[in-house]
Amino acid sequence: MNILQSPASRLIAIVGLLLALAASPLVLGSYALHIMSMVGIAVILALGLNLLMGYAGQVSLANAAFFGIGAYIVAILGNRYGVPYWVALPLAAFATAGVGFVVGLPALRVSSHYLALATLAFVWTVQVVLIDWSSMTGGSPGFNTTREGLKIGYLDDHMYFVVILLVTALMIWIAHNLIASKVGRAFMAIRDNENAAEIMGVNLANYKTLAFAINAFFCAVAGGLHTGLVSFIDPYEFGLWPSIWHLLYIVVGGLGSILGSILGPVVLVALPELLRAFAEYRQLFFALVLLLTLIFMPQGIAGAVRGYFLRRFAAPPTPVVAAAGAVKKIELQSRHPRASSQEVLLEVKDLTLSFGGLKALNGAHLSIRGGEIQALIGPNGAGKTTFINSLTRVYTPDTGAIVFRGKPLLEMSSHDLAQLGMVRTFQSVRLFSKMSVIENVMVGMHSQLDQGVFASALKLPSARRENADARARALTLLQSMDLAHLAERPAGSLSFGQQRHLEMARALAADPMLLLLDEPASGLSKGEIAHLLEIMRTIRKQLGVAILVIEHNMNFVMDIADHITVLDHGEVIASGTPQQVQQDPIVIEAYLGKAA
Amino acid sequence: MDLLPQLIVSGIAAGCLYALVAIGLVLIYKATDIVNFAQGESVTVGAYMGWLMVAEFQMPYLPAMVMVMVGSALVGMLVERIAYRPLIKSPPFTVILATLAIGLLITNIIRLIFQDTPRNIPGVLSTEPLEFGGVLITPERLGIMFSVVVVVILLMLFFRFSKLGKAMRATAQSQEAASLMGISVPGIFSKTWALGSALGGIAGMLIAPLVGINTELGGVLIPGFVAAIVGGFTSIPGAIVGGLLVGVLENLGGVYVSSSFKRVTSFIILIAVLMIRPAGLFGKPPRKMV
Amino acid sequence: MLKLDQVKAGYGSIEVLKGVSLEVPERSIVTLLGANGAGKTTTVRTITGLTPSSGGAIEFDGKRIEKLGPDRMIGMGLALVPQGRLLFPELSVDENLQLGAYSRRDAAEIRADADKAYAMFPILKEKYKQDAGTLSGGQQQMLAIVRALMGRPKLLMLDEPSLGLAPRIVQEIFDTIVRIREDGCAILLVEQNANMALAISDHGYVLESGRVSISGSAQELAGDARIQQAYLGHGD
Repeated sequence: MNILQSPASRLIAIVGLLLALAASPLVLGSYALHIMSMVGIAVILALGLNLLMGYAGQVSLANAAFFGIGAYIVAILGNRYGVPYWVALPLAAFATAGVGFVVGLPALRVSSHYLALATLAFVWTVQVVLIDWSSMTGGSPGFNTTREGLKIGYLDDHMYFVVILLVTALMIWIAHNLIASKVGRAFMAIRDNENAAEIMGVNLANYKTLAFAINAFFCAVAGGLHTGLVSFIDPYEFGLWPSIWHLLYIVVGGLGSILGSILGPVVLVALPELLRAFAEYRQLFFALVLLLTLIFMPQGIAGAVRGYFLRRFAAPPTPVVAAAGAVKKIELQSRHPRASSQEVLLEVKDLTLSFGGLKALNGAHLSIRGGEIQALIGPNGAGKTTFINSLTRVYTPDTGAIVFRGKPLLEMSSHDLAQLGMVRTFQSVRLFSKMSVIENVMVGMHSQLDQGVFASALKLPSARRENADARARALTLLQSMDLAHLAERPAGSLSFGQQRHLEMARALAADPMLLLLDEPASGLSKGEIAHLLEIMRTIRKQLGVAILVIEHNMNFVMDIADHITVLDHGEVIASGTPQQVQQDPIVIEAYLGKAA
Repeated sequence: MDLLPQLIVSGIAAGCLYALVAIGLVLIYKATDIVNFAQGESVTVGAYMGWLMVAEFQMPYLPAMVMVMVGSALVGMLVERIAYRPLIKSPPFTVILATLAIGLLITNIIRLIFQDTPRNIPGVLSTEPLEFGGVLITPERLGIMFSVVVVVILLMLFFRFSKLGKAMRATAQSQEAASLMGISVPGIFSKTWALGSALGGIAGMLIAPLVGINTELGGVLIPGFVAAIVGGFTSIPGAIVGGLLVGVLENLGGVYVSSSFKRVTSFIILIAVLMIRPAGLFGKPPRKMV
Repeated sequence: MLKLDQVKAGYGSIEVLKGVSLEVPERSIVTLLGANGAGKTTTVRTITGLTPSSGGAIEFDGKRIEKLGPDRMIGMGLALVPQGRLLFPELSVDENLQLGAYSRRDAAEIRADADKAYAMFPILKEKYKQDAGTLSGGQQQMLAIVRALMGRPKLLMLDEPSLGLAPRIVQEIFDTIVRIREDGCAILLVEQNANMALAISDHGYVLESGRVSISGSAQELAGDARIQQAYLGHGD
């Protein structure tokens, strides 16, 4: 395995593999040639599907529709209008991507079930259009298409296979680049935890529709290639059943895995050929395979393989040694000017919010200065979480004003906050559990990265540099948090204490001026809490970051807070130093009730 | 313009059937948080079972209907056991695919058993149109509307007055509180799926004399699902209103726009609802939970 | 009546209860105090099986119940008024009440108990056809309590019944709890409002970070400075 580590040797291996594949039909014969061509097309389809569903977590049954649109556009442009294939194919791909974008718009507002239905209705409708618009598409009987008609008659079957091979290799490369880029990380963050992704600066609307557009693009490319392969296309290849059939590629192959996108088609395209004799039972058999895979092997073949290797070769989990007090220097270059302790960083005035008839917040207010550590406490039901959610724009208060660094927050959305310098952590740790530790931290940097989708897809030097740079910074940050040795592990495999550390690292990666910590001590052992206190002090001292922390653990709060605001029934009942608050009779009564 | 009342009335008959499918979907969703993408197949099963009972076993209509209900209820419980319960902790994506898969499985098993020969259940009521105030309607369609009304009334009585019905409503509102009352929540899930699927089966049996029996009947899932969404996916009345609306609009679209438009109407309605008011007519807009 | 021995429980990878031991004798009122996050709610949820326990033993009425699901509880005589009431909001007051007796079969007795419930809280009788979700907080709490009583429990657990209620109503609720004990039912009261809870209790436990840190009779605990420290931290 070590010989494949250097990029040069990897390149040689890939080229070698491509050459071998390209030459293989000479040995394997024309039947194998046809199957391999079909596999290539299926792999492109599977990649597109995986990007949308496996990586971005969006449900879609529309893939056969995009496949069909791509196929028909290429067929019609070539055979009817004489457009050369090499122009028609990219044209079809981008046009279909546009359609994909539109189909993705419902994804912004609805849950997976509705989305599944909307895409189901879409594919069904496209099929109806293909059948009914017979003047253009040839209708129900189908559309005759030949390579001569597509202006590529000079390519024989073998040469066309090589074309497919090269395009497939290209699409694999693009998919790989996307996954390793800001775009791919944003997708996976959305899949693993939408709300946390948003708070890290990911604009959900943009990325969800982008995922659909990319999916449509890949499906259309596959469709265009398909047109060149067969002599005839008809609407019945592009309906609901084929869509579900394509899903099998990634469910069986493995969601969220490029290897899975290759394995699935290899297994599932070759198989029907072998089962030719049982054509009647095909649908039945594959419905059964789909069901059984979902129940018993939800990670697919690639996932099962990966799981096996992880179990056999994984290092034993390192015990969390909270080296209390020994917090290293935190390496972080900030874009923001350090706020002075005189400067009011956050000013919240008169926040009121009612749910139904219940007033959750009633004129709540507080202010935080640069570098200050303030605690927000209060009995159960006081409104602390509602307060934080109003700050992070999950809720919109009925009245009140929130000004952060001079800017009115109520005019902004959740995903704008990271850019401004406000980040939060969650009470129940909200990590991107399937992403690696270092990828989690890199998502934190989302709002600081500039690379667009094309730069990412084609691995342009600017994107490559930015990614490498981000990775290095993330690693340094992990080192300060004692997590560097776990960098490649999936975040979900860490112990709870380590996960809390990681969430803190991710928040710091976003380069905040104000950190909102929601019950950071809950679930931690005494030693871990001491360590957390040290980290918070270091953050404040070294980076000048202000912190607003919600906590119930009073010893913790008394230890760390410069200032405490006490909330009860949505109102501020006390505000002062820890000592003042601890002895304030109003506060004592709020917690313990009226003394007998 | 004479056509309009006629179209509306004939749209109502189809709408009644969509309503049945929709009610089944809503019941299952409210109790178990799952959309049963195999609901269309309970309609198919109902139609084929109906054919078996009436054409093969020469059963009179009403007992056949009862058998159909029992049969489709059993199928529903099977789906719940196989495609839902093992996946209770999985993401919605997986469950959606699983119910889709099992729907396909059912369709194919039916196709294997019965082959693709077209079949029909002889209708019990005549197809001679009667006239009411300028509007023509066959007793057959009237029969469908009447049956659906009866079913809905029985259903509402069930939920209002029976112990099990109240237990189902309670479970849909709070699973934890229901279990504290001594209600076995998994048992309720099973029975809810049985009930939802039985409704689909009834729809299948009712629709069979009208459109014939074939394995494509499952396609009624789409207008049924759209009807549930239009109603807001929260209540039986909502599902009924949704069903009637979809049935009528489909008919209007088919005539005033184009005949192929009829098939696409559900899709247009769906997009409109999703874009304008995803909560539907009666649902509550979802509040973001953080 | 109820005995917990080194009970452990948590959510996912978080261990909330690290070994809780307590006892509720028959016909007594025992209160469980502690700051938020200490594990009070987790304790009652674990007793009823809403949250599975990961260790330790729970004994009720002589039987081991730590492995039983929540739907078995009422049949054994253990009822819970959960935090936030957990009523059925779209069912009427009367329907909620009747569901409390779901596990019973003696129709005549059920009717008698319902009458008793309405006598205890006449306002509920006025509103008996209204949807439970439209009631005020205090009325909902009353309904939640009588709903639990409809199961004729031997032990009633209440999780923060004072939450979100005005002090006057809280007093009414607490007076009711005393009456319930007088009728023969044992009570486990989980509360944040320590003073009010201790005023009606026989015995108390204080939870801190998933363990019982203080235990004693209500008289001993009332006015004990350690309780204030449990909530507001140890002074410097």
